[in-house]
Amino acid sequence: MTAQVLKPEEYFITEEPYYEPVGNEIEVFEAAWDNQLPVLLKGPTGCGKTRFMEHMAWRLKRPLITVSCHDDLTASDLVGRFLIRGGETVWVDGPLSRAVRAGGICYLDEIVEARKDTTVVIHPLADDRRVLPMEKLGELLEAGDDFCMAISYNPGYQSVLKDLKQSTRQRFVALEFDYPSPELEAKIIVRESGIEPPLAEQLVKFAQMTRNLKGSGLEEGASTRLLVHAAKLVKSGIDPVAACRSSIAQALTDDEEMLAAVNELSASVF
Amino acid sequence: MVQLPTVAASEVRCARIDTPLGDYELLDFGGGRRLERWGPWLVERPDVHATGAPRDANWSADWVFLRELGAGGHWEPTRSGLPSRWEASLGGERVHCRLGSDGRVGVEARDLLIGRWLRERIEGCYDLDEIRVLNLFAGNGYVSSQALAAGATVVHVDADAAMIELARSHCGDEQVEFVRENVMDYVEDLLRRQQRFDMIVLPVPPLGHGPRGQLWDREVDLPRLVRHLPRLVSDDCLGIWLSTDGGAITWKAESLGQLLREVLPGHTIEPLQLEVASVDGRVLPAGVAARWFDDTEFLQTGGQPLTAAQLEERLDAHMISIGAAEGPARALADHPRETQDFVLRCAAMVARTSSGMAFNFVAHVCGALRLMDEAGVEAWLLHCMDVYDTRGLHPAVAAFKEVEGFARSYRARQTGVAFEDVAGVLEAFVHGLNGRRLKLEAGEHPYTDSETIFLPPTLSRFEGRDANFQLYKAMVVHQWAQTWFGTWRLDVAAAVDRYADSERALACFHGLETLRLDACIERQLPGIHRQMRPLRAATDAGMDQRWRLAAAQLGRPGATVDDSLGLLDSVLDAPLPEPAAYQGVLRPQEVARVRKARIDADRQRFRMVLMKLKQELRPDEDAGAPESEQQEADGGLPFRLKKVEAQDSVDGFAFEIELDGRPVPAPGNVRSVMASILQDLGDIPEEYLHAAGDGAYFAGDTGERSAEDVWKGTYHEEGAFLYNEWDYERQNYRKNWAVVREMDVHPSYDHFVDRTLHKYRGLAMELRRTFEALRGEDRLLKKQPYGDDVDIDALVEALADARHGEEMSERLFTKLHKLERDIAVMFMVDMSGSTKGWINDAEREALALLCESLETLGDRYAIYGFSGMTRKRCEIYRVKRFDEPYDETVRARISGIRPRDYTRMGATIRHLGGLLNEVEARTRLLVTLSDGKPDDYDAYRGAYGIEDTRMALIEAKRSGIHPFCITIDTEARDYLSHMYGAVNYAVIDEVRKLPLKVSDIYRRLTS
Ligand SMILES: Nc1ncnc2c1ncn2[C@@H]1O[C@H](COP(=O)(O)OP(=O)(O)O)[C@@H](O)[C@H]1O
Ligand SMILES: [Mg+2]
Repeated sequence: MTAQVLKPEEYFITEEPYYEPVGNEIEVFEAAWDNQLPVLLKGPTGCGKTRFMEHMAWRLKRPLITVSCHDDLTASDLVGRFLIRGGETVWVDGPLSRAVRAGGICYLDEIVEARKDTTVVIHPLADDRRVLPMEKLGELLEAGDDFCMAISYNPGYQSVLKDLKQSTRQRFVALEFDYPSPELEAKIIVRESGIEPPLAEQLVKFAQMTRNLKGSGLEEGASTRLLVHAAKLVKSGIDPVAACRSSIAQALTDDEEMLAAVNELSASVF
Repeated sequence: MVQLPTVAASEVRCARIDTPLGDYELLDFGGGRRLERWGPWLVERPDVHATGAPRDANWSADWVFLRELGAGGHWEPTRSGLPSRWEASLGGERVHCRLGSDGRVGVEARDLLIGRWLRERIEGCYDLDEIRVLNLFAGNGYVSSQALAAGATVVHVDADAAMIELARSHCGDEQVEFVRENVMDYVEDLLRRQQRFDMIVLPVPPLGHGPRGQLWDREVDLPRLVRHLPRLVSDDCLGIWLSTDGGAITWKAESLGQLLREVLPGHTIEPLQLEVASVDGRVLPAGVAARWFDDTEFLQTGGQPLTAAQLEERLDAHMISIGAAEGPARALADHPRETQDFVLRCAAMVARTSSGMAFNFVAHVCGALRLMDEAGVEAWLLHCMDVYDTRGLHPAVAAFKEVEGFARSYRARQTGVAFEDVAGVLEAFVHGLNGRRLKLEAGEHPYTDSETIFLPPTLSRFEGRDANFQLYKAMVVHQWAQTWFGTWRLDVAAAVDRYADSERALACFHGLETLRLDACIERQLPGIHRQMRPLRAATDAGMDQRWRLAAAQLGRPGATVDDSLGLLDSVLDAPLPEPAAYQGVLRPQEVARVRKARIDADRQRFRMVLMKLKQELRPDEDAGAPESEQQEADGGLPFRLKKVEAQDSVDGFAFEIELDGRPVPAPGNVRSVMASILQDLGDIPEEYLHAAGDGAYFAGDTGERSAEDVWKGTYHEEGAFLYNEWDYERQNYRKNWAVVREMDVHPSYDHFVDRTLHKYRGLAMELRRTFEALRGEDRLLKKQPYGDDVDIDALVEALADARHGEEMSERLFTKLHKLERDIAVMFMVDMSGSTKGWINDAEREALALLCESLETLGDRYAIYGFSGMTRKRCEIYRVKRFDEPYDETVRARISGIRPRDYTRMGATIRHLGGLLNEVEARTRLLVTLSDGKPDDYDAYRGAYGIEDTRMALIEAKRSGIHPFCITIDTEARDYLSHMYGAVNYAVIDEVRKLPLKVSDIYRRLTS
């Protein structure tokens, strides 16, 4: 495959991204989209939120513009800013403005990580006004019917600071994500990595064990993403226990005792 | 408080100088006078100890000292042409004789004794680079010259110029510093300069004068001087000599000894009666003394084993009663010197806590040494000390006696694995397995009561640690399997009771269940099964045909505990197979008891959580509203239970809750209760949804009070926090040692804060300005390579540059830079008694200004005071919690801060550190405001308190806290840097500067 340069708002996903629906999330999302309602995806990391968005973008035939939020992300980073080109100032759209103009789906991943001032620009977009104020330009950008905003948020972080404000939360249709049921999760692993189903089931069983430890030694249990990683290693010929050790246990904790316990658990499953 | 053994009169030994000694003789004494010969001359002088009649009525001295009222006295020659200075030899050394204005000639018996002891201690010692001797009230220089001869350097302190001159002629100028000073003043100066000495000599006079007339009064000043000693002695101090002339009733040898023991416990104290024997063998008292030294010093006796008598003498120092150490000393005499020293060291360490414990230790130590190496004995001792700390003397004595048991497990631990060491991993491991959370505890036999798994304290069945660990793990899995695969869904006790030999029936049942459970484990956890198989090799090898048949049946996937019971008859008469290594025992009665309590509690809890759920789902139907359905009228709940498939449950199904025919999402607590019920019963009975009669009753949490029970009976612990305390001598924690309680400062509504702000209004305004500048405000950065806005100035400049054909700058933007402060700070304020007065005022003023600054800044902060008395009463006073606003009450509490008792800092730091860690912040600061060292009424002073505080600070640092100390103790630098590290403290030299400085220091700390 040769690399080619594409602007995200011009990039349409043509091949169906594999996504295994866990409940009625696809229907709900479609309904929200039909009604121009913004969507909030809640759930732990690695449970398929990003994949779901890709799938929906494909389904709705809209470009997907993803912004991973971090603590330096400001409103200007989203909306846009002036740049100087050839001695002239030129305005350059930020990803959010581009998504609005292109009628795409803007997905703000881990929204709570962003600066507080970013909420100021997403609020008017997220309610029935559906406009993006572009203060620097002195303009309001009105969203078309195709534009859709989705944000994600992991309620698992215990911090008060990392909580989503009510005023934000209440503008969105919330979709709750969790790890898929054991059968589904095994199916996903098989599909993503190509390993044999029994092995996938054992991986899921091991994941369950680590999820039992959430709150008593582990902050989070193993996510679907980590299981897929481990499965891929196994597929390339790594022993399952070793694969779990390096792709799961090490990712979950640095604590010696917990590492030992998690490794004992994986050793007991295979 | 730790009770120190008192120095008894019976311990006093005599230290005597026999004459003639070289050119010196005590010829006669009596009637308040003594006659001596120093070289060629006879001198006669007064001596209060010279009671009784002289042997000879007609003395013919060359010189006679005559007392004059009020003016000391003077020497009178009985002939003309006599010298007033000469030299005499004292068994090999020359001494200067001079007729002193105090009536003295040559050297005193006391000086000879001191000189001998100094040489003995110093010369036997070659591991100290440079030995420094401090000679106070040093006198004529004889003692100093002896120390010099032994190789030490000396600081020689005396107030009298003539004496210093004399001493200089004795000693020369090498290696000796002569100080003409008032002793008390000079010692305080030494403390300030942090000078320490390897030996200290104090032959204190009853009365004296410093060079500027400062009065020395033994009765007042001696205790004060002695209290300074701990800060004058070096780590390897060889000894302290304290003596005084007798005559005063208050100063007996044992009282001098006691004085030393109180300030410097743990070493040997030798009270001495000093005396000189005259040529005809009569004894003249020459004052009293006490020597303090560490007689475990190996080098002092050249490595030779100590005799029983020597050992007893040394051990006696740590015993309550004389003679108690006789037996142990005899036993110990057979050991090499290294071992003896080890025991003496340990005994001294224990004696600091309790002499009763010390006795028990020495009484059992030889037995212990036969069973274990020194490391083992030390571990045993620490174990006993822990028992003593937590449960008291009697259990500790029992622990000493159980040395054999301890030695066994100690040996096992060397090759095997101790439960303690693997409990953490095993517990996490078993929590990862499905089902109810099982606790792990040490117990004699492996078994479970269905909530706790008991495991042997050590395992050493196999050679390697790993194999023993695998056995532990197998035991855990087997016990877990009983609770998960339903062994206890059967009333096992009742089932086996039907058999005549119920014990055998139970053993057979356990054997059958083990077969069934192992098959379950093989299906579900193949990895662990592979590891367990070798552990049941013996079982499989010799199995009878009937057992084999049973095994085949129980190995089938659907087999349940009922199948095991059904097969019991078929194997009852067959030989019992060897139990698997991990099998342990079954305790059906205990399970029955625990299980019944749990089932009852679960039923109640289930109703409670459903009732809550109902209220959440139908909030309008509160208690008083009319019930809509019949079943609700009789206390039932409007829910239905629906079985759904669930792979991760043992039965393959779980329950969903439905309300009005629609499934409702069950919160975590509902799900966990349902899981627990299901695990016990294999079902959730329909009746659980109906009234249970006493619906309001809730079997609340029980247990979990072991920490509080520790002091039950002796101390009321309700609502207290218990913290460990570090004992540096043991290099170990004392468990649950400090009892900490939180209480509120009594507010005092007297506008103290307002007055303070008024008093310092200029400063307050300035502080507000500086702190405002620090606040997390946006700062506009200009000329940035990228940013939010165009920097017009920069652009104009750049365009102009471009016109001129120059390269155009790319720094054309302005950018908002956000300084977000994410700081939580805890102020820990000393409320000990020593802050009374000025310091307390200064602390309160400092807090008033500080709060003003912090409010400007917006940092989260809390203020707590601390004080207390003894470990059982560590008090922490809330002034402001993190979540409290800075309001009138807080201001009144600041005003209400009052000096109280002592400063036990370690526990306070541990407690407040914990509170601080609950706050979410990028930076956590713990700032102590204090006036001095950690100090408490009991043994929490000196090194012990400092070391515990230091350890508490290390713990805090490890948990991500930055500790900082602000103090006004100007002598604080030595211990503060030890406790806080070199850069983490500030010393303020004037109390009145505190309010000004604290805010300033805080600003520097956080920007
Ligand atoms: N429902 C699902 N269908 C398909 N794949 C999934 C699903 N859930 C998780 N995955 C797998 O997990 C991986 C991580 O999911 P991702 O969407 O990146 O998680 P998140 O965005 O929630 O952190 C995906 O790459 C995919 O392999
Ligand atoms: Mg993601």
